[in-house]
Amino acid sequence: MKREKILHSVGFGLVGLFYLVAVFFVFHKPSEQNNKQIVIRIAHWQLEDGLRQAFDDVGREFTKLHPNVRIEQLVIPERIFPNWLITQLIGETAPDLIEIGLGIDDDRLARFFVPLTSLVDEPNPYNKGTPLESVPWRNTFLDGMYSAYNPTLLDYYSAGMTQHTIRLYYNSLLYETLMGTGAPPPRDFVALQNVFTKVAEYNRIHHTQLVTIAGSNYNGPIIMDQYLSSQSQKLQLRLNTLLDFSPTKYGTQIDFLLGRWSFESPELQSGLTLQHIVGSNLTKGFQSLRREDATFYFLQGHALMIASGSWDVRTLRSMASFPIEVSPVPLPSPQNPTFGAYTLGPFSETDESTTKFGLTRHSKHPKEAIEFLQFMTSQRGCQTFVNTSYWLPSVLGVKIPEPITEFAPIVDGYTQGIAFHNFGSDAMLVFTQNLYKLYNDHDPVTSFTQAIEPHLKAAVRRDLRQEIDTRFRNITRDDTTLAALLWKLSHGDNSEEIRSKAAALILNQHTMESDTYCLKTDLDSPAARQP
Amino acid sequence: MPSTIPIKKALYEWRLYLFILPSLLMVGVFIYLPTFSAVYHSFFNWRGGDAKEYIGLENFVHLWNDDILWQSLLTVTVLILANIVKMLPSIALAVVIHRLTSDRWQYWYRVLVVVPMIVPELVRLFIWKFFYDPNFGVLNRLLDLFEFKPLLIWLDNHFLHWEVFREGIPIPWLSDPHLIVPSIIFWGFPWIGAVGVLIFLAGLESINKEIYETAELDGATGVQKFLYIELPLILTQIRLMIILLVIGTIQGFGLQLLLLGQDGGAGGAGMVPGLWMYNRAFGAGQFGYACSIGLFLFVIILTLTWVNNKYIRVQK
Repeated sequence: MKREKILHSVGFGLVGLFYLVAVFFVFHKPSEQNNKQIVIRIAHWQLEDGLRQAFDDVGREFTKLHPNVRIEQLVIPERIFPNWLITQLIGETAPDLIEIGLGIDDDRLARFFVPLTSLVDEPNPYNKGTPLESVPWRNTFLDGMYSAYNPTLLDYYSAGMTQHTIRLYYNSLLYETLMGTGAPPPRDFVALQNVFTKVAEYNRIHHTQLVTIAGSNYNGPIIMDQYLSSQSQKLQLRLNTLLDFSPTKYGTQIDFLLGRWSFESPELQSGLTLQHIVGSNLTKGFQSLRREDATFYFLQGHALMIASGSWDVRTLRSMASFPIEVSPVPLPSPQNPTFGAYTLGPFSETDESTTKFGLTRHSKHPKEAIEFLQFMTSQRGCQTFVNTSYWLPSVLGVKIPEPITEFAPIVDGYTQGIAFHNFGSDAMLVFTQNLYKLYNDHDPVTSFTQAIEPHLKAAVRRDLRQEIDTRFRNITRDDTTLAALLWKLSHGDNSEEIRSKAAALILNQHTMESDTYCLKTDLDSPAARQP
Repeated sequence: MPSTIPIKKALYEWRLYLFILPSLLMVGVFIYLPTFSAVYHSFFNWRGGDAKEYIGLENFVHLWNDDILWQSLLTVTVLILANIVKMLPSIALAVVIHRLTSDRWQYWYRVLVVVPMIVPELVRLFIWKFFYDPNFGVLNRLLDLFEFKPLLIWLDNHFLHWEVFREGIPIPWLSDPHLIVPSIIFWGFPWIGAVGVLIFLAGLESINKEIYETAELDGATGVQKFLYIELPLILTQIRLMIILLVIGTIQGFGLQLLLLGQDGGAGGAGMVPGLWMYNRAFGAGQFGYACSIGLFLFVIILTLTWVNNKYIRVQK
């Protein structure tokens, strides 16, 4: 009885103690209220090694300049980021700055984010004292903020800090065992096919199950899309009647509906054949594997190579027990006897910015959030970030850290062709549900083409209808702002600022409207409605 | 005949009603409000947030013509039937534990059944996912070790004609449309659910000992005792489990989402209605349409529950 009483007292005592400790921590947690510090919350999905530290470093640097502002980062795993983001945006509880990319389409961009267009022609104040001091913000980026501009909404919505390139990482010890000491990495597709053969031989002799390229539903498309794209480079040029070398995905889809190309075109058939060859040398069943599975295969030495972006360099090198080398993805050259006819050559690795952040409409501190965004994309902020993260910088004059120089974009090359990612969500569903046919042994290309054909046009039409609806909604959304501006103008407020804002908005609306009607006219044309 | 309480008497201690207010408020805000919101939004072209357009029954017309939804209903029907069969090991184990004569051993077997419950579902999921891994998974290794693969190849060549079991090629359990549903059904083998066993045990323990004694005097065998005594007297528990199972299977999609992704895997073979609802909401941004799928599932569940209650009669 006495023992039971003691046990009860200890139990209640522990509960009480932990309660008091919790209360203490809650009341001593630094908050905006008790120390008057403004908290800017930024959200991203970068869980790679060194990234959180890099954001913390930039935040600390910023706080040194603005002691009243503290930066808090929310790191949400990539898998759940889109869903998390939607609930935050709809619930009006979103952080101040959000990484743009996953889960954000034009509709959400227009509804929940603030356009930065009025700022891009002004210099970034945090570049003061550098050669970029008087340069407009947009010209301080390697891509001239091209990737931050939304051609549908006709506004700038984000600013990015980094760039990325895709590389084939390989286990150099294993590679030398297979290919001989000092063997160079595969430079083109013929050399890669030689690696495939050597791995198959190795498995046969040693009764092993070594995989040539670790694949997953994340790493697979990274490399596979490039092969499809390489075979449709010349086709894409033929379709690009405006000769602006920047075909839009909607243009590609309309061309598909109008019958200007199809998956039965020889170029696409050749691309699919390539995908089949490469896919057969990826981990069996890679479509159902996840990114971490592929990384695990590679790091455990079960796979010779893995295709990923420069974002993984720090993670892979820090976790591997073997030396890792990298090489560009070996694509077929124009001289390739089988796959050279439709290709122009290696892709030009664009200098598009990534890790782009946008300002949400419900930010409580938009001024400070913009200042932090400008700081992140200043020479000082960007250098601090890349020094810790080992990611490639997007800002002019920022030095690439030594360990990642081999990832610097190779800009000499040609435009990309058509790939699956040129399509919308319903069409993607058709592809992903039928991709397994492409990795079968029995007539893979034909069976895949025949499987997608009955559904693809309808799916593309649905995607385009949705796009048109979204655009019209975005146009009408601006009506309220425009009405307010016009009301001000008609009631005597004739300031330059109001006049220029109204004129810009009218021009935006007209351009968006004409673009959308063009798309609608194409979509409604008899040719595009053919089953 | 229940007598009615006069209002004055019911309100005499009116302050007591205040105690249930917080719970009522919580239930209202977190359960009924979202439900009514879903019903309301199923009549709109809603892409989340405040922007929406009333479209009447258009979502339901779309739903009626949605091939993927109907296909997913077929898949979920197969899974429900399989899950009902998968209930049998739990019933069998509950009967075996119930019939143990030693209380001490009964206690320990119950503990053994409950212990796996403390393993988080996510851990179990990853273990099973690794089990199905085509290249290094346990299942393929076991098939090779015990030389079952040639048998599968023979079956495939002569009867199935799926062309998935081939010499020297790992079996892609989760990336071939023919194997996805069988893999999901096999998931969790030997299908002993701790909650199910405990519920059936509770039902078995309420059976009067005298009934067993009478049956033994009449010379009933173990199987006869099960068929004529135990099974009829635990039908209440079985009915409850079937209702929970049907609701869970129709609503559930977590397993498919984690294993196959939101597209339902190769050929969409693993697509179930819940996953399609999720896909439409979070993949395509068609929240209004997703709400109408949810409403449709609600009607199906209600109908199946009613059928279950009406046709599975409990012998008192």
